[in-house]
Amino acid sequence: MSVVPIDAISIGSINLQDKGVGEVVQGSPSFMQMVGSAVSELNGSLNGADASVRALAAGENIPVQDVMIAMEHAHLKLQFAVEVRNRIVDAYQNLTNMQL
Amino acid sequence: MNVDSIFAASRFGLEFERLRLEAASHNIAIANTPGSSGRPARLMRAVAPHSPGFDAAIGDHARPELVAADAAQRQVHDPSDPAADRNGMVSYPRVDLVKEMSTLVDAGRAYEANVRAFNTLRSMALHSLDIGSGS
Repeated sequence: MSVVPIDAISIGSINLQDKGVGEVVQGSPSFMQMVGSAVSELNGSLNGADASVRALAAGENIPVQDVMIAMEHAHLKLQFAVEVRNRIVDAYQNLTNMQL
Repeated sequence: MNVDSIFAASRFGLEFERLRLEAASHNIAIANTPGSSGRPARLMRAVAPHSPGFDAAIGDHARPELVAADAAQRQVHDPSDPAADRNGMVSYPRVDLVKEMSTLVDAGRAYEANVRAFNTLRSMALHSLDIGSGS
């Protein structure tokens, strides 16, 4: 009768996976770069809406509908960014609360 | 975003209807103003600028504009008017008031329709952000 020893637990495969993820990040634009460019675009849209509202308040000859459309445009973009942020925070909390 | 081009189309429609309303109220305003002999009254009209295609006509950079055209004259005999010529005739621009009033109503309604279309698009875009947030 022989006893088969149990193999030691190896985390080699996890390390391998980690390396693979790192290679993907180097190949494509990083997630933070993507978020950063989207945020700067949103900031430009908000600044444009703000400038048109200021111009209208200062009495410049700007059609009212252009100002309203710029404001709605910025509002939609902001709402979209907030939703994306909510999803990211949800995913992050899912991962941090995971029982190991 | 594809929504941007629909925003541009709505913006063009709103601007165009506003200019139509402006032109109609200008024409109504000059209907009973006697024109001086050297300077005939001019009727306004809103036009879309010429562009190669329909998409470009209502696109982001398209701007409707007002063009003026010489009005036909309407002669009224009134020698006591200071603007009368030596025959005692005063010339007024020939303005079709019925047409201008219906343009006024039509432009107002079309403006409302454009606002309604824009609001529908906006609420659709806001609702699309709710996809998947129910859980």
